[in-house]
Amino acid sequence: MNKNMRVLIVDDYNTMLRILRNLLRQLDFNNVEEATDGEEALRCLRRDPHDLVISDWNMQPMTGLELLRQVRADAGLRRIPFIMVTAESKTENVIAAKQAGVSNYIVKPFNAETLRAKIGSVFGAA
Amino acid sequence: MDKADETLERLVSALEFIVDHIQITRRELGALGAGGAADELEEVVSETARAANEIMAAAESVEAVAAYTDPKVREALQAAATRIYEASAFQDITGQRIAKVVRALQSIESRVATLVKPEPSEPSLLNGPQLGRSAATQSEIDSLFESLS
Repeated sequence: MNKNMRVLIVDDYNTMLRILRNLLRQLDFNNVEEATDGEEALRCLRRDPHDLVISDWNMQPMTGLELLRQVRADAGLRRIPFIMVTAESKTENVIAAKQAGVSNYIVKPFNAETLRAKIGSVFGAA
Repeated sequence: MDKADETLERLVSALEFIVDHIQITRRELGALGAGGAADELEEVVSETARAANEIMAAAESVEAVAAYTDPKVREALQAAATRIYEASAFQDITGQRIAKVVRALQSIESRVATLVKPEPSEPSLLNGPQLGRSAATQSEIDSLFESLS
């Protein structure tokens, strides 16, 4: 796995962006960009190529699910691995995310090991 | 007094009772100020965000210093910083819960003010954090995720 990969983290809470950035740095991922909702994330993704998206679900105006759908519907972006990190833990949420093509699903609050394991599993290195 | 009058009288007295209660509720909500309870809770969210960021800034400083220590000490300090980052998620979780309560309060305030019928709510995918007893664990999410294809 290339630790220099470009990662986009998306969350409307600055606290969570800071947590993700710090945990990713501890895992040696230093090439990290931030967005605070789906629309901003989409603009970032369309502007520059990224290798991984880690996104919250519950954001306004564009939710993480809508972002995921738009990413999967865009020929240039559809293959980017997309991990949802959310407090939404109902069965119907996981089903909706899976149907929209999510690569993995992390429920908040999560720990560093879960983040490491899910990124590893998305890139085929558990 | 015939039966119709009696019914009417009971109806009027019931209505008076309801009106009194609405007035009391309005006064109580008014005492909190315009959106007072919601404002108080939003203040809690920004205070906890400020505190969580301060705590993380301190942990980041500890990590930066840890780079100059011997490997064992460095490892221990980094592990402690990891725990601080993980624990800081409380702010996101409590913030979402409070936002949910704020929306409920605002809805109650506006319904009492106008006394319109509540709109039927649709099942939603935006429910925020589940309460402890009904929240799915990561391993439950993993099994569900694996079972879907």
